[in-house]
Amino acid sequence: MAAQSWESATRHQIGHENRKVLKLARLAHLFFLLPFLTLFFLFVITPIFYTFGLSFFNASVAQASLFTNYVGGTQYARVLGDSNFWGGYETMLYFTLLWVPLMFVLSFLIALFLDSRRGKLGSLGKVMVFLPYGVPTVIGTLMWGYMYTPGAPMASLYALLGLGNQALAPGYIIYAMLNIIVWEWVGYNVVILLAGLGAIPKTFYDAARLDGASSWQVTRHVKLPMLKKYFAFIAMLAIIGDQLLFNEPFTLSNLSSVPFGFTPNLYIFHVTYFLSEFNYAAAIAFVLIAMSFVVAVIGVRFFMPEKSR
Amino acid sequence: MTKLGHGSITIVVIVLLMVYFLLPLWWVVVASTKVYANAFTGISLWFQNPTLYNYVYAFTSSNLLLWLYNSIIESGAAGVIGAFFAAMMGYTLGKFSFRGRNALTLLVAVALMIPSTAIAYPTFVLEAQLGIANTYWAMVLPSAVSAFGAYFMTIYAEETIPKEVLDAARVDGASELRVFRSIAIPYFKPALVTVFIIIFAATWNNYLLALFVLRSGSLFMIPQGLESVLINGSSFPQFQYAIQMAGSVVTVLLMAGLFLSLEKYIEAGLGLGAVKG
Repeated sequence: MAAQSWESATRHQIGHENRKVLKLARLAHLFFLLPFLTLFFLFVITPIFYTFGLSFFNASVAQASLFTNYVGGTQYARVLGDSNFWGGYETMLYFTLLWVPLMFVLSFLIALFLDSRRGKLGSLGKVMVFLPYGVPTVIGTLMWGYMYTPGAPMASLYALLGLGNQALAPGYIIYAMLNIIVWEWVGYNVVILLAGLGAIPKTFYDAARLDGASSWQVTRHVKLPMLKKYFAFIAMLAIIGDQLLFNEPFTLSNLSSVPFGFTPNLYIFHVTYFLSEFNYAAAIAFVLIAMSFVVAVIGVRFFMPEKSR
Repeated sequence: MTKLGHGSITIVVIVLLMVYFLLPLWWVVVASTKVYANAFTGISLWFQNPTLYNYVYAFTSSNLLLWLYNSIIESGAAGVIGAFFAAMMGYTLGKFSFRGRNALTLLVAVALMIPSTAIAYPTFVLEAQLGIANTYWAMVLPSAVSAFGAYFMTIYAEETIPKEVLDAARVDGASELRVFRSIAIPYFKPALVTVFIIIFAATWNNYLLALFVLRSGSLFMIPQGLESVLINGSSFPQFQYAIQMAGSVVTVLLMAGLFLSLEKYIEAGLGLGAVKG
C-alpha cells in the first residue's frame, strides 16, 4: 500500500489554525532523511565523482597531488586495451554463469527438504545451513584452503577421484572458489526461500490435493510459481555478489598462485598496491562502477517490485 | 512411500547436509588441537594427542584479542548506526508522501546494486584527503551506509506500521520526533535486528575496504589480522598455523553464538525483503 499524505487525511480535523504545525511536521520528516543521505552523499556519491576526476590525470608517486599531469582520456584508452582487466571481467562472468544456476538448484532443493520436515527438525537444519554465512569469508576461505592441502580431507577426496593434487592449480582454482562460495552463501538463499515456502497458504496445498495432484505436481505447479519473486531476489543478490569477488581469490592467492588479474577487484588492488598507479586504478574503478551501474539499471527493471521503479 | 522409507531419506539427506556444511568447521576444530607438524598426517578428522598449544600461543603471542575487539567495535558500530539511519530513511520513504520521494526510492534501489568493492578504492582516496583514513571511522562510516537497509526498512515500514496509529498519536499532540521514537521504533525492532546482522556481516567481510583504509595493525579486524600472519609468517608456518586455527575457531564460535541468539528474526526478516513492496 502506498503511503498517503497524512496531512490531507487529517486536514479537516485539524483546521486552518494549525497549518503552522503541519509545516513543522513536514520539516521533521525531511530531517529524518538527513542522516542516511549525508553518509550516502559522502561515502557513495562523492567518491564516485572524485574517482572520475582522478582518472583524467597521471601523477607520479613523487608528486604531492594526484591531480597533476592532465592526460585527458588516455587512461580510459588504456583500460579498453588492458587484457588483464577484461580477462578478470570474463572470469567474473563465467563464474556468474556457473554459480547462479547451481545456487538456484541447490538452495531450492534444500529449502524444499527443510520445509517439508519443519515439524520434525525444528530450526536445526536451517541454523546448520545458515551458519557458514556467519563465518567471515576470509576465514571460510582459509579453512577450505587448508582442507585442500595434501593430507587434509579435500585433497584426499581429489586423490580418490583420480584428480591428483591440483585443487588449487590455475585451471582448477575457480572451482575451488565456486565450492567455497556455495558453502558460504547457499544457506542464506535457503533461508529466503524457506520464508517464501512458509508464506504459501495451506489452502493451496489442500486444493491441489483434492484435485489429485502428486507431490511432484504440487512442487512444479504450486511451489515453484509462488516462489518467483523470491528467485528474482536471490538472483539479484547473486549478481551483485559476483561483482564483489575479491576475498576468496585474494586469500587463496596466499596459498597458491592466483593471477593478479583474476577478478577486476583483485586487479584494482594490484594496480594500487603493487604498481602505485593511483590514477590508472581510478580509471579502472570508474569503468567498473559504470558497468555495474548499467547492470543495476537493468536489474531494477527486472527484479524490483513494480512500485519502486 | 512407506513411513520407514520417508524417515530414512530424511536421515540420509540430513547427514549429507551436515557433512557438507559442518565438515570444514569440524575439521578446523580438530586441526586447532594439533600442532603444525602433525596437522597434515594421519587421520585428519579425529583428535590425536590433542593440545591447547595453538590457543595459548595465539592468545599470548599475537594480537588475536585486539583483532576480535576491533571487529566487534567496528562492525558493531557500523551495524547500530546503519540500522538506525536506515530505519529513519525507510520510515520517511514508506510513511510520508513528499516531492522527490519516488526519485529517492529509485536512488536507493539503484545504489543497492552497486557493489561495495567497486567504491572501496574511491572511498580510500577520499578518506585520505579528508584525513580520516586509518581510523575506526574510516571503516565505520562507509560501512554504515546500507542501501539494502534503507530499501528493506522502506518495505518494512509500508507493510507493518499502521498509519492510523501514527495519526492518532499526532492528533493527541505528539511531536514528529516523539511519534518516531515511541510509536515507530517499537514496530521496527525485528527489522533493526535483521539490518544490524546484515551490516555487521558485510562490514567484517568488506576486506578490500579494510585493506585500503586500515593501515596500522592496531586497527585490524580479525580477517585482516589472520591474513597478515599468513603474509608475514611464512618462514614460521607453525606460528602462523597456530594463530589462524585458534583465531578461526574463536571467531566461528562467536558468530555461531550471535546467530543462534538472533535466529528467530532472520527468516522473517530476509523473507520480507524479498517480496513485499
